[in-house]
Order: sequence, then C-alpha cells, then structure tokens
Amino acid sequence: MAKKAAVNKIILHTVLIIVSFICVFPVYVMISCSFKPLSEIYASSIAFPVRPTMDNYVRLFNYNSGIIIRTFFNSLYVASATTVLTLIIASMAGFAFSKFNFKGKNLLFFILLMTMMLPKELLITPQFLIFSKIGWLNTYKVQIIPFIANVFAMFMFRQYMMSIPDSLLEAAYIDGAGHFKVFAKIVVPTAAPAFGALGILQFLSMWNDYLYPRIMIDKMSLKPIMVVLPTLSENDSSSAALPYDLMMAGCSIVIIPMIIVFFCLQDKFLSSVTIGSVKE
Amino acid sequence: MKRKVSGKRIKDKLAPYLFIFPFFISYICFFLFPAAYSLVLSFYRYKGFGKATFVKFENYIQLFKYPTMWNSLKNTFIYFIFSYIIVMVLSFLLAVIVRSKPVSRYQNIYKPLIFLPQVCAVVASALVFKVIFGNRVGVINQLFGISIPFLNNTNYMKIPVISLISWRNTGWYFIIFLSGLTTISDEILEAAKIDGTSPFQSVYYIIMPMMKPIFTMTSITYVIGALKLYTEPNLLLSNNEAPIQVAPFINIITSNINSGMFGKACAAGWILTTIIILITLLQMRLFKEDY
Repeated sequence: MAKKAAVNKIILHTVLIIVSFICVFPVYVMISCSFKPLSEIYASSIAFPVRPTMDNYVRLFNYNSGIIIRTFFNSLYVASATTVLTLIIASMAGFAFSKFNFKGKNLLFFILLMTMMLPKELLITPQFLIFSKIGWLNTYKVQIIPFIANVFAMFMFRQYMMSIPDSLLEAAYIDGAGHFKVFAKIVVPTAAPAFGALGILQFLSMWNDYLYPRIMIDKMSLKPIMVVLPTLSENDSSSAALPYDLMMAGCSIVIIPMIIVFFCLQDKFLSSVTIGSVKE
Repeated sequence: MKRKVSGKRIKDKLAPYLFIFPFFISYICFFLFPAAYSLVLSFYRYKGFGKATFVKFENYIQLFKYPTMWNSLKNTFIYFIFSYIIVMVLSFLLAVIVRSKPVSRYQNIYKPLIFLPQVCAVVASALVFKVIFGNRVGVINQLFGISIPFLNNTNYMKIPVISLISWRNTGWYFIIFLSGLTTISDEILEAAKIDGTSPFQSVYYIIMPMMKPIFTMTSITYVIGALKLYTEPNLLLSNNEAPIQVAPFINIITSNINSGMFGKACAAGWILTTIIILITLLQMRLFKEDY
C-alpha cells in the first residue's frame, strides 16, 4: 500500500513537472533568443546562447531613434492612469450602490446588468467615428478615458462593500464625519483587497490591449509598445524575414518586468483571478 | 437587515448621486451612447463623411451573403471549441492533481509556474510562438527534425493558434478550479475514501457535481472571450491581418472599418453580440437542466 502511494506521488509530480516545463519553456526560448545573433537563432533556437550578446538590446533601444523606450512608457502611462481612474470612479459608484438607497437605483442597476454583455469590440466602430469627429484620435485621452467606466469593477466593489457592516459606518457618521470622509477613511481601507485585485485586472487588460490602440492611434510617438513590437523590421535587411533577434529582445522587455512584479505580488495576482468567479 | 443611512438634509439625498455621477457620465458617453449609435448606424450606409443613407437591413443581408463572414465565423468557432476542450480538461485535471493529498503540500511551487503564461502579454506571446512554430527558426521543427510549415500553410495554421490560446489560458482556469476545489472539505473526500470509492469515482461523483456552478461560470466567460479573439491569430499568422482562410470574426469588423464601410462594421458587431448573447443563454439552459 505504501509503495503504491509512493508510485502515485511520483506519477502526479511527473505530470505537474512536464506541464510546468511547457508553461515556462516559451519564456526561456524568448530570453535565450534575445541574447543570440540571428544566425545563431536559425542554427538552433533552443540551445543556450553560445556567446551571449547584448547587441539585440542595443539595436532595439536605438531602433527608430529610441521609439521602443518611448512606447514602453506610453503603455505604462496609459495602463496606470486608466487603472487609477477606474478604481476611483468604480469604487465611488460601488459605495453608492451598496450603502445608499436612492431613487432610480434599481433601474440604473438593471440597465448596467443588461448592457454588461455588450462586447467592447461592438463599440470600436462608433467610437472611431465619434473620436475622429471630436479630434480625439492620436491622443493619450482616447486611450484612457473610454475605459474608465468599468461595469465589472463597479459590481465587484459593490459586492465587496456590501459585506462592510453598517455599524462601522454608523459610528463614523455619529462622530460627525461626512460621506466623503467615511468613504475615504473607512470604506476604501476596508475594501483594499478589492482595489488590489481589480487594479491588477484592469492594468493587465490595458497593458495587453492591441486592437483598440491599433485603430485609434497612428502617430508613432503615441502608440503603446504592443502595437509597435510586431512591426519591428530592419530597414537594411533585404529579405522579408522577420528580425527575430530584435523581436525577442522586445518581447523580453515587456514580459520580464511583468514576471518580476508577478513573483513579488503573487497572492494578489492569484486572488485577482478568483474575484468574481468564486463568490463566498 | 440593511439600515438606510438616514438623511433629512438635502446633502444626504444628493450624496449617492454625487458618488455615481463620474461613473455614469463616462458610462453614458463612452458606452451607452456608442452602443446606441452603432445600432442605428448598422441600418445605414455611411462612409464617415457626407450623408448617411438609410438602407434598412441591407448591411446585414450583405454580410449574410458574404462567404468570408461565414468562414471567419467558422474559424472563430474552431479556435473556440478546440482550445475550450484543451483548456477545460487540462485546467480541471491539474487542479484536481494539485489539490490531491500527495501533492497539495507543494502547490505553492506549481501554482505560479502554471499561471506564468497568463502574465505574459498576448502580443509578445504571439511573437514568441512565431519562433516556436516557425519554419526555419521553429523550435518544434528543430526539436523533432521535421519541417512542417505551421505558419505558412493554411492547413496547419490553426494548430499554432490553438496551442497559443491554450498555453495562455490554462493557468487562469486552473486557479479558478483550484480555488473552487478548496471549498470542498477534506472530510467529504476522506469519508468517500473510507467507503471505498476510487479516486476516479470521487472526482466523477463528488467533485464534479459540486463544481457545477464553477463550470457554468467558466464556460460562459470562456465563450465570451473566445468569440472576441483577434490578436492571437492575426499576429501569429501574419504581421498584420491573418489570411481570410484562418481569420477570426473580428477581422470582418476591422476590415470594414479600414475600407470605410462603417455601417457594415456596426452590423458585424451586432451579429457578434447576438451570437454571444444566444450562446450564453443556451449555456445557462444547458447547465441548469440537471439541477
């Protein structure tokens, strides 16, 4: 019996190790290729770099007069600004929906629920027309403002804040605090885990976005890095082949910082997955 | 019982509206209004300037008669079904394994590793998979000493796309299933074991029924995400837009935007929305039936 259990344990671990390997392997390929000259990638894309070189990174940073660094910070700026604004307005609305009774509450809530199913992709065409008419194309605001009304985040805040006992708020009101003070001093700190999880989700979805900025932005200096990465090409190369060396270096600079942040804030990341999916 | 925040003063009556104001203003301007506008526009022919002509259902009819639309819809469903099966089976099994007694002690090692692909940006992952499935540079072709033109031959093109989607998504659903499994108490599983149930039986008869709400929820979110597929096939199979034989449905929208046929692009958006809503309702029915 004990022997059988040991065999079981080995089998289960083997399966998990193989799966973990498959999950990590592409990341290894990316990093190792980013340190290889193109000829070495063609010879073997799997092998460890024979003579590791920073040349790809140097060329990447000089590419199109430093556009990669610029667009990297564009992405960072757009994703962070959107996340902060989303959290502020969604938490405020969540507070109102969870702790107040007001006229029209149920109607508004019903409208939100019904329209939640509408995909973002449906809105791209009208948004493109509207923004081109009001001159918003090729700006930062067009990448930020349309995303801050996040219905999902609002629902999650509402749900989280409903679990804050009314007595806690009541005590503060008796002490003479106003609504905004109660919100800022009591509700926000208590709902901190929701802020963390929803912040991560919003940041990642903005960081990953590709379709929307591709349609709204065609000024190079305002593009997010995700739109620029696939277009990397070396002017002098006569062949149509892609500069895989350059691309892998580019992928590394967007992926590696994320992985580092992930390993530092692992619990926060993993709890952001389950928020809203497994309810109490 | 929920106690109302009492308020005699006007300030109190006004307070909730002040709190929801910024949210609703941006919601109306950037969500409700564009949605309504796109519904109206889907019945017009409009080039983005000049006069819009009312054409009734013409945009929809043209799309329905357009073989490329059906083909891209088919492609999207193929990507969805295959990746769905792989992701759900794999993530559920992995969650059961990691939850199981001999392994659960080590779950903090496996969890972040399996979740790692989800942290990698979609665009960057697609480019990395170009290297993995590439022709000469291809890891797979080099590894097995073969030369399958995964990215050049439309017969093979769906394989790398499905692999990429499955690779990125398994970790996400694995974490969801795992957190669902931890709500099943050890006592229940122990009791079943003492009664002589085999591990497979306890998965089938105990774990799966208890996980049903989670299956429903994950299936619905998966379909909605999968039908909106755009980045993966387009970047993996080309530098711009994938060839029409393998293009996903969203390409119908983008290509109509690019050629200035905004009415048709809106109509395509509403076709997608209708499909998403229908499938979601269907799934809710399907999963509810056995309760």
